[in-house]
Amino acid sequence: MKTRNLMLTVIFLAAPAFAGAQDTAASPATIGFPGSVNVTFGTVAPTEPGNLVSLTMLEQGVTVWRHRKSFVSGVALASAGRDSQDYVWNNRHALTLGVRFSQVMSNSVLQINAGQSIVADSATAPVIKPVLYASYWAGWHHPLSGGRFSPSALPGSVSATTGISSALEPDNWVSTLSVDQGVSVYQHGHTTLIPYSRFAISADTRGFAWDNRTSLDGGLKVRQAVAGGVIDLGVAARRQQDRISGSARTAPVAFVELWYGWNPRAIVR
Amino acid sequence: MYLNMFGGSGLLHILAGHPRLVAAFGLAGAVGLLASPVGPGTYRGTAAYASAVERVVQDRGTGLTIANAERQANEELNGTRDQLEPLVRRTIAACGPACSDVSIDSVFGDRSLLRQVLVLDAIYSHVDTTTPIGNGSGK
Repeated sequence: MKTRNLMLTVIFLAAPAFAGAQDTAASPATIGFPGSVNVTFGTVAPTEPGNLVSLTMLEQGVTVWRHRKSFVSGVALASAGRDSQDYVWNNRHALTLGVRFSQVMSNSVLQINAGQSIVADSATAPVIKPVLYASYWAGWHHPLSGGRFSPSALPGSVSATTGISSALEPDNWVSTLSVDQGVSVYQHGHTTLIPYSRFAISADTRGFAWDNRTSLDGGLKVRQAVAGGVIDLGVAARRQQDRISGSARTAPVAFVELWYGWNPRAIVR
Repeated sequence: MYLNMFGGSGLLHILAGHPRLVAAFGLAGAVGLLASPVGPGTYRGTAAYASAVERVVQDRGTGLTIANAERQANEELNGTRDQLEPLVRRTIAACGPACSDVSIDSVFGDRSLLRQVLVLDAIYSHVDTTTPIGNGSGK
């Protein structure tokens, strides 16, 4: 059954031919190949003192249907987590093959993902289970009429996810919410200095410590924008509370975050 | 998930470099056409796609629209900032949040971009407020 589901997903991924036929008559029929890579690296968890954590996520899709700003894509997602203290929850490798519905709005996108995921961590043999989760992201910029040395914009974003997102926790519904607000105080070219504050909270139905945390940042980051992507280097004071154990700790954190996206498209004659 | 709404490449720059696309689909239509499931903003592949679509639609009678828009923009360039700023604001507003990474000051600081934006505005005021030559799939 699991193999059959995986095969169906692969067949769906390999069959983009009708994408063009679903395009509107006026615009040329196209097949898109949206993808992105997201890397986070640093001492990001005060409740794990001294732990250097990295998480890399890569996704590649094929748009098989589009209507205006609604998209259905077959998608392959790979993620790899590592840390310096060998916590099980930070050392997972996953590959997911599935289907994604994306609804793009003016400054936001809603995604619903369903698929089969193969996951392994340092303590468990590979597991294949279905995953189903939704995610939402919205961003804003709010330009101000400031000069080079006065605030020029108020960049911020909110993101949320909810659902069964890991095959290693197939009966655990996990939800996360993160709100980020900054002030662009200096800009030179595509480099911006941004004091910021971020609030993040996660919760699950099983009560795992790593899924039930609250954190609040106050920090400073340097944002380097590149065509199609952005790199943030930051330091912050982060207060993190583990709501299961009741422990809380404030510590300085340093991080590098990279996000890069692409969407080459081929016009179908 | 970390999406690139303000990645620095600038959707406005891509639109400014592809006026035929805007003439064919309208400003809002062109923004919709370039939309990606990766999220709002521009990504690797967006500019190439805009160029490819321009080649496909080049026979839709956009030449006269663009020629008129360029003539109008060249005349408008002699105006003062007070006269031109409402036009620039109107174009950026019509483009929507994905164009908000470009400030008004940066447009006026780049005379070439200012001219291109005025061309877009002239096309916008002609095409988006009349009947688009294309069907404006993103609307």
